[in-house]
Amino acid sequence: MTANPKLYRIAVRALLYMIVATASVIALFPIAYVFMASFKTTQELLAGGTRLLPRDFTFENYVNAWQAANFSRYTLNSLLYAGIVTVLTVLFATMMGYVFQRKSFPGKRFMLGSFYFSMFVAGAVTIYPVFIIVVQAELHRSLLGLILATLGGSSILTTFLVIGYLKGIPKELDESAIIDGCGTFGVYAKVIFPIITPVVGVVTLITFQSTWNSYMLPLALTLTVPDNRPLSVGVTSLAYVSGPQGGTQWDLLIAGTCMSIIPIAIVYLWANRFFIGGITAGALKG
Amino acid sequence: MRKTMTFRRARTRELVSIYAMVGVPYLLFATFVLFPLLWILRYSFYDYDGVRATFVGLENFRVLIADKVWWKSVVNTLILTFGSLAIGMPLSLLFAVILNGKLKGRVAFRAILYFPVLISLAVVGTIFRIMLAPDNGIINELLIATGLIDKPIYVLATAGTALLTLILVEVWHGMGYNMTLMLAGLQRIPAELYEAAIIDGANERQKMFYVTIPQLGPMLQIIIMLHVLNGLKIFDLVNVLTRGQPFHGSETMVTYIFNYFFEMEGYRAQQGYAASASVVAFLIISIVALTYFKLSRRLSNNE
Repeated sequence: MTANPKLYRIAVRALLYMIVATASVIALFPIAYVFMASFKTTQELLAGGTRLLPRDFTFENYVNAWQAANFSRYTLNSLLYAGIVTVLTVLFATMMGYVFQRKSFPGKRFMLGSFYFSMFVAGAVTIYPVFIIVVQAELHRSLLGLILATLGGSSILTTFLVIGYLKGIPKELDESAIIDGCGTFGVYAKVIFPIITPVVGVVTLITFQSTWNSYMLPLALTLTVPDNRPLSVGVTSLAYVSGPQGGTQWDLLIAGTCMSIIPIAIVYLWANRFFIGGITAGALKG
Repeated sequence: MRKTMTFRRARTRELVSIYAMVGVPYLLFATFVLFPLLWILRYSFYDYDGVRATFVGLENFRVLIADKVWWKSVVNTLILTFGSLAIGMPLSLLFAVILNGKLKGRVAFRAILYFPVLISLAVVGTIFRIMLAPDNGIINELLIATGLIDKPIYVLATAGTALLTLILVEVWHGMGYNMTLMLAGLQRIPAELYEAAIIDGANERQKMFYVTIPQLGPMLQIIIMLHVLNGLKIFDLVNVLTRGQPFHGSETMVTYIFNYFFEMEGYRAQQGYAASASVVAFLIISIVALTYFKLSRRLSNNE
């Protein structure tokens, strides 16, 4: 070590590169494998083998999934579901964040307390009563029930994010707007919302990702209505269904898996700074 | 007099806008989060199969406590949560520290290691089902090609290897998330602390144990807390990758509850019974969380 410090430094650096490169290969391999496999022919998929690249490049799996296996419907469902939930969560979280941080009113303590309490259990164990409520209101026939049920939980953590962000913004801004004649809602729409765009970006990404990826709630609410399934549920249900010839339909399963990953991957490549910032903010405030 | 009148009117108007803004989202929260919690609490004392409900007192809990499958699910949940914690946290810390250094290409490596986090855990389950398939899965093919095994193995066929697989897949999926959080924590440690340590003659290992880890402490507590709370609610991955099989060998608390609620996999729907299991699961989660709070507070007081 003391003999040749320069050589030692190079060796350490090489070792670090090897560790990080190995981890990167492990992180990407399953995704790369499935992506490549989605262009293989059905025969090649059934035969297996260690080739990563397809022998004969084909789009047929995507065409079949899109046309025959209802994946066009699942994709539309996912887009509508994640899109509408994201827009409304942004609206709800910013309004609640603003009101909770800036105003005092009867019931505020109870509301905030119930938000904190629910973070322990949210979702996992209350799935059945949620299902009952949606079915009894006859909302399970469209995506509306799923959207409303998701909104019940999606604006909790995000509201806390907005509250945390607003703490750093001086109240003088609101006051000058009030003097200019703005009401409570006017201050929100004209002053607060334009200032908090960074946190709005974070809330948008967190909500879109978690809704696009959500599984348990859409699974339960679409048990009786398969046409309403988003991609995450549609794809995974294929893993346990046998095709007309018997056995798993690998072609559809693999193409569907890729179809559910590609949109979120595009969003990530386009905005990965926000993603990283978003999860950090989420953990610190939550 | 006149002034207080206008003030009061202004306040009323303000309150109307406040409730108008909070009302709809809170109503949704009350309907789909709060009310279901009360529903669970009530029906945990009923024999209820979705049609008829009769009050049975603590009978559900008595049956639940005697059910071996339930306790297996509880133990499995704990194994999965703490197993992935024990493997995942040191790895996350290692990569956070490496990628916090001056390595070239560190931004790209961070982005790559975060990538698996983007994918839904349910879809991750299908990816690994595809790769682990005994007849044509790539993992078997690679192991055979390299001569490590002679004939295909199916790791999901026995309980022990199924649990281990779930743990490793969880680590694969969650490592980037914890690493990113730790990176954020590392970047807040003032450089002066390291400079002082170097002046005192500390080596890399001592810097790690006497500066980095203590400084990262509060952040690590949050990360571990999040991991444990989410881990105890594990459902998506298990439900797709193993379905709790073989013979309930990888069943978890939430898959057990889900199966009784929705009549899956040969279970008979018994919503009252599932509700009592939900209450017990909630108690277990709270006990683990509170114990953790107490322990971590004591640890940080000792410093």
